[in-house]
Amino acid sequence: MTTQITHSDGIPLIPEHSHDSGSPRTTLNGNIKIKALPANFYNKFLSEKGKQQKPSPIRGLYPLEKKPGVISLLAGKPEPSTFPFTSLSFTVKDPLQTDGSESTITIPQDQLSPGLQYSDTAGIPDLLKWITTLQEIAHGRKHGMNASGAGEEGWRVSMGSGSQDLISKSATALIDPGDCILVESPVYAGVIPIFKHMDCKQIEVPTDSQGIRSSSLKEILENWPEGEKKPKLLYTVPYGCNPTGMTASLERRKEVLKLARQYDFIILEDDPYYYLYYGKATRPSSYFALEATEPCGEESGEPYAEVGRVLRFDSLSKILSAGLRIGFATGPETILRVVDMLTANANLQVSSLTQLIAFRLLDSWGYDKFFVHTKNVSAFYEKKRDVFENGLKKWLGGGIPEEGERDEGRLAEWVSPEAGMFFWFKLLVDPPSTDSSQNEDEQDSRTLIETHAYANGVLALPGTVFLPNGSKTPYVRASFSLLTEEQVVEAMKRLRKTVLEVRSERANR
Amino acid sequence: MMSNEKRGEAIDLSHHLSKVGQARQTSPLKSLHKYMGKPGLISLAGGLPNAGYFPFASVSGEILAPDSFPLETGSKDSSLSWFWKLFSRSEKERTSTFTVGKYPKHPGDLNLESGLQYGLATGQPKLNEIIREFVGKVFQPAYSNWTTLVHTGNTDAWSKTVQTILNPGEGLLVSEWTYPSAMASAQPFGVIPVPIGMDSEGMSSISLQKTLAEWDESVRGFPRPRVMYTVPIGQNPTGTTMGIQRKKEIYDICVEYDIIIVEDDPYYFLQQGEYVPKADRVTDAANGDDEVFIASLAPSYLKVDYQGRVIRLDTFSKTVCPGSRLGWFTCNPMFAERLERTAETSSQAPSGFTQLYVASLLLKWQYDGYIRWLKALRLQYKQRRDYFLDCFGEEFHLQKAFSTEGYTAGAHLYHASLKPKRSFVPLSEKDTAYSKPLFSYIAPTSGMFVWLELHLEEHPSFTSLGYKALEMKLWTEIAEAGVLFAPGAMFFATKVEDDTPGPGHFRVSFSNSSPEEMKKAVSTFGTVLRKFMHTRI
Repeated sequence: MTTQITHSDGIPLIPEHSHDSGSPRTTLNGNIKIKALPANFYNKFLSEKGKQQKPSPIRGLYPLEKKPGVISLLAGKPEPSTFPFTSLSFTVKDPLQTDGSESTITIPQDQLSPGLQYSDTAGIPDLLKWITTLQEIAHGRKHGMNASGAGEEGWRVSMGSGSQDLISKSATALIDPGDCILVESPVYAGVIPIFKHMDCKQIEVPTDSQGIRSSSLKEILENWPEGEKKPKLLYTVPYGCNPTGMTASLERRKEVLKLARQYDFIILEDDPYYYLYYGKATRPSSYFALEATEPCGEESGEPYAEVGRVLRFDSLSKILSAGLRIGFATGPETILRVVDMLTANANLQVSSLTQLIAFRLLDSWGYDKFFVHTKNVSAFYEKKRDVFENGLKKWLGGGIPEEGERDEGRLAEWVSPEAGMFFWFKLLVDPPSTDSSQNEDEQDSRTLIETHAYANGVLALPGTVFLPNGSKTPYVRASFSLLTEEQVVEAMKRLRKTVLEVRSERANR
Repeated sequence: MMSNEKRGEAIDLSHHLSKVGQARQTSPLKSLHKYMGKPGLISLAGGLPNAGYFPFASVSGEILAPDSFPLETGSKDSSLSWFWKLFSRSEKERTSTFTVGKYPKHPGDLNLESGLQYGLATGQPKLNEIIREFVGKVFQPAYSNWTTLVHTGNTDAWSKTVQTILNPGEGLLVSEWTYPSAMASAQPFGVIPVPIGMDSEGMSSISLQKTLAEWDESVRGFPRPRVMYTVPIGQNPTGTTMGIQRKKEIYDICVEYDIIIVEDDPYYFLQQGEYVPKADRVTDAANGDDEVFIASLAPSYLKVDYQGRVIRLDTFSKTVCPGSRLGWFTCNPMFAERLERTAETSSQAPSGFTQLYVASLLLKWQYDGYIRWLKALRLQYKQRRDYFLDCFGEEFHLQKAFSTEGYTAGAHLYHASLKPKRSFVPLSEKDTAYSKPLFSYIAPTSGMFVWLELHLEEHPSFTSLGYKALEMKLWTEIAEAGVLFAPGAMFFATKVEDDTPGPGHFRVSFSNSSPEEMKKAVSTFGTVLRKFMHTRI
């Protein structure tokens, strides 16, 4: 990174952008021209709070320390010889060995030191580089590197303390009070309080078995109320959507991207279950990949794609471990610069130590083994899914599950998930014969779960917590990630008992 | 452990929560935890990844013995011997190892299965126990139901505190010179810094009393502040230390005006005592037992906090390592619960790895070992400070004077002027043509920094450029000569313009350069300054 000191105003400056902020940069992706949206494109998207962020006064000068030979008395970095840790080792499984054999990675003192000291806000350089290449391989995007650290396609990577941390900061960087945002529904419950505290209007976009319903999105956008602020962004979990477990089809994704370009909003692609896809069909491209392959028009007879509309969030929680607290955001440099400033002024950086551990693990594997590992993990969840679904079919799917039971008809409805770790299902507490025009209260799964199911020793998550505006729903979410087969059978029996109990209670009313 | 019998509980301070702080609800997923304890319950409710597929099987590490550093400052040996203790530890160092396995061997053991899983935002139970014991013994809070909560470093903790107790448009009491990153965190939330005068013990109680008593909302445009941010030990940037008497005075004022004190105290264990010039220095030895050591340190605000109005921020950054991003709050249970809610929707818990790593270290060392480590750590930084200030003594001509004004009042001020060029051989002190003092400082008593005040009035361009522009010109010259100081203007609590009156400053860190680098940096500073003073700009 080049650093300069401006003499004219006497204030030391690190150039925030050495590329021209006004004109798009162009590269080639196969026969499609890639045009990166220019930095000033994001002016209308950044929130007031985001624009007000100033580089952390001291961290802003850190790049000057990298000049060889400089003696820095700038920051209060502790003396490394007073760090009590002198080495760190960990044993890891080899993804290629099925016998569970382990190998040991040792980080000796000289390599451990940087992991114990303060480091760069966006992440430790080694890990950033590894992850950047991962994104190139996984999503077919070109990074390159220009003077400001951003890629030729205008994107880069920033690390966060889990992807939730980055989503929360991105929301702060983009949303002003009173803004409208589009949120798929049902939606990951963890983001509801984040958006709620931004004081923004959440417009729900329904989802179905093909993921987000692009036709509904289109309808919403076409009928946008006059005088209402245009939506700035769309939040979606495209793989193994939490809670429904659904994966958006390629068609849907293309339509959503097209709408984003047409109606000018940013897609927040929250993708923690990307590597937990186990569907039979070819995996659909991420939005981040699609924006570089889907042409949005032609220029002198050649198709071109405009990139810089997708801010993608990945997580290492499901594939390496949740307690690592490492996630990463990939997307427009202009937005990530604000996110980094929020980090510098809040938690400074992700723990250098955990970043070092993650890097050493990933580096020892290389990309091939990494992908083998993620395949192993997704195959594992696929098996868990099958076990759970077999249980659902047997005990709640109609027919006679075992001797002594009666056929009660279907007791639940669901669609089989193809990614992630969740089943989203509706418990049919009214016998099939009854008319389904019940009042809202009876449609709510919350009391059913908190009283009847809980009393019977089984707990699932009532669906209402996943609805941005808190409305009621007869659906529940079940996680199958931790259950053994015996536990699944027992849980199904208890759920069956619960549904039958409620049915007879209602029949007697 | 101190007896808590006579201590009352924290008073109700819930009116201090911000609107956001009040409104935060339990993260919907976390709220289900209350149902989880039922025996035999099968939960399909969580979304925890399966730990069987975390690739880590065990983690182990080597750690230094807690008595790796001496309890005596460099003394009988040659004067440079402590360099070697500092910088060539490799061969003789004594280490021990720890290992954390995937599954616990005994109930309650640290283990990766739970340590690397999503956790409650309150952190690892084992680590919490250690922290609790430590706070009770070392800081001795004056009320009974204090509680602790882990966070990911003090900057993170401060940012969460701002969100929890401050509303946009409210004032925040700070020292007139203060840690700029803390202001940068608060500013986007619309918080307005209200600077309070200082002396050589840090924030002045007289100035605080006056500001609060004379507060006129119609003039100021916002209500009287109800939150204070303070770095009482190793005040950043001035390096001063606030004693118990001053803390009591300030605390009583805060009781009178109902003010919450946020005590950001990263340098607590880097208390170095008075600087004694090289010639008069005697060996400093940390004899005495742990209680004597603890009593020798300036106490925390917690010690006088009988109402629970202090939110104390501690960090492992300076005592263990900053790369761990780990620290903890000590505060009343009501604030702790709200801060936990704030954490749940952002960073969640600090990284499981670093919690395991630091917990392993502290379990190995035990309380006694950690205190032993801290005793020696303080002396390490004391030697660094002494050496660095000695370098100033060698490069510049120093004149010592007792200060009675401004942020240095009550301390000895060192006025530094240029020594005559070496080609002159002064016959006697009287013949020596020293320049007028070009900068001055008080010797820091805690922390990592020396705060230099510049006197550039004699500069040929002073009348045309003024203080602030000259500060930056000089900073740039020094940077171009290969030495980075922190420019002083950024530490002023409110915005500094080019024409803001008052002398310029630099904050200079002595925390992690080698002795050779320190010496070179000071002599480069001298060389640049000499040239600078003769150059019209």
